[in-house]
Amino acid sequence: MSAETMTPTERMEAAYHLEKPDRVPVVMNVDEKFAGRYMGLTQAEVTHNFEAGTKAIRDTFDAFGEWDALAEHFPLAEWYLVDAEMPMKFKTPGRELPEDYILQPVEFEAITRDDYDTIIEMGWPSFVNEILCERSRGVTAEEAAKAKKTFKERVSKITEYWHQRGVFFLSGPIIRHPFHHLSCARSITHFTMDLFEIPEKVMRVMDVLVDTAIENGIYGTKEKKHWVVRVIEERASNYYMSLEMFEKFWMPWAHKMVDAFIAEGFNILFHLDSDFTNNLKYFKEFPKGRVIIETDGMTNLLKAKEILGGHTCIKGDVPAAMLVCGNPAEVTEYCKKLVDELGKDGGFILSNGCTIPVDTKPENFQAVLDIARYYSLNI
Amino acid sequence: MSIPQDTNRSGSKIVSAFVNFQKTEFLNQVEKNLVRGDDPLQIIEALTNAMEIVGEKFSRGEYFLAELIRSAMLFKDAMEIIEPLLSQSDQRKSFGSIVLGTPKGDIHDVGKNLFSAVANASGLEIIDLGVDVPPVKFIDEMKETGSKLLGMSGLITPVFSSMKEVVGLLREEGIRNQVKVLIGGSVTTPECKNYIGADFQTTDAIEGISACKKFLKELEGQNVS
Repeated sequence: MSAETMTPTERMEAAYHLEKPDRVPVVMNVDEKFAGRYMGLTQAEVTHNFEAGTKAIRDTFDAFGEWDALAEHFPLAEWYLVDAEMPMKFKTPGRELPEDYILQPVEFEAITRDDYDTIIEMGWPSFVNEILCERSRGVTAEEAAKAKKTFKERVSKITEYWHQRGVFFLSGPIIRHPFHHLSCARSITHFTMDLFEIPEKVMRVMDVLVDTAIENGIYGTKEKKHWVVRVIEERASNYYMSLEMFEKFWMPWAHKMVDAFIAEGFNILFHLDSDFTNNLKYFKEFPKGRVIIETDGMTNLLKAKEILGGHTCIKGDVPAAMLVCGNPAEVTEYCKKLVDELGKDGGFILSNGCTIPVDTKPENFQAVLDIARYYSLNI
Repeated sequence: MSIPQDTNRSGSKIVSAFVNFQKTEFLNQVEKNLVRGDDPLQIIEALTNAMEIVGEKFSRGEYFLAELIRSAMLFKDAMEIIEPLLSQSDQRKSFGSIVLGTPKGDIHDVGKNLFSAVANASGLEIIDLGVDVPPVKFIDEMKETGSKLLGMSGLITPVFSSMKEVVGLLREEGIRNQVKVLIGGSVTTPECKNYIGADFQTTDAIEGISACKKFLKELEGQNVS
């Protein structure tokens, strides 16, 4: 049997650069939800206690013998509660929800159609500070800034801990494609009507949002000493809208972000929820070897390999339902197939989709790791 | 189904404007028809036919989720005009009813609400229990209403154990074989349908509506009471 010859960082970087590592890298997108449950804590304990949440993630990482990169290293929940740019309200365990429910977003019309002109006039940061903070978080801009500053100081310490340990982070900061951002802010129903009724206005607002997204992406990636920016998109797939609309409302802003980040020497990881199979061909427009796609159970990965193999790194995924309802034999067989079909030539990372479910069976979690660690050494 | 051309020319104008999302034209035609004395129930029937055409276009890949949302909004706008004119005795024709909800552990409702809007427009009566619904409430409502269809939607995995519990309670009550259980939501898969013990799983609202129609015919054929 072969042995590992690379560090996790070398392995991840090789995959990102479309090279073939010593084995298929494996990344489990663990945040405080699964980590807390696995370590015997309630969701309320890890959601509202930064130290408990970060410790749970660390202990889970160690308990499973580490994996190749950390997707999250602090409780995302607490960030959502202070980040007024995240235009949804949240119900949290132990407060609006029972003690062991996971934190859940509540979509509402955080931004109205009338606000579009205000955003164009004020710019996004000013709109967030002067209007959205109060509306979506119930706090003033000063209170939000103070909470964010404290939060960032704590994040900085835990980030430094992981740097000292030599652990690779999946990416730098998380930013949102303006399409996704506006859809969440308007609610999907209202945003859908906007796309058809006032398309030019929507595009002008996305022009405003994308500049802030780029600025945040560059700043955050440098701050985290990384070279990959993670861009979230959960609503733009061909399941939601036609490819003509995708070309009109998504690609131009994706190109703008990709160009800006590449100019800084960064790569871009697109987090793609929903079924992007029919959209995959558009990712060939981006420069070879500069983009990673992270899928979530619905995109056909074999098609992804056929269309993007040798051009785009593919990080994908064991479906959430399989990790929760399935058994290790099923998970093993599924992961073997992914490794056999996608891992032979490099440019592939085995993963779960989106965030690992809170009720993932630990034996299924282990099965994914084992396939990467042992089976893929010999392909 | 295609857009009717000859009979009831104004009905065909309503259907055509709806299917092509000509909102102003559509709402104007609805109002015009009402003013000239058309039966509101017949206009609603035209809307249901229009929704069926939209569903067919969605199934053929011509329309997408965005168009389903648009059609649901158009239907809602039209009903706001029509409903005040319905008399107490007016009974909108429905092809059946479904008890629908997001089970305990999950508070997401976007997908459920979209299915509800499109299914209602298609002629299915919706008994919506909301979100974070305790399993026993589904059973109580099924018994209370006599509905033969139970629909559960979810976006996060904690909902699976609740869905499984609901199916278990149906068995305990001795009514499992008299009803059909449908599950939906982007986290669901055909495999978890088996785990939960449901009869049908989909992430596609139009498929869900077709399954409801099929199941109701089956249950009717079995003379389930």
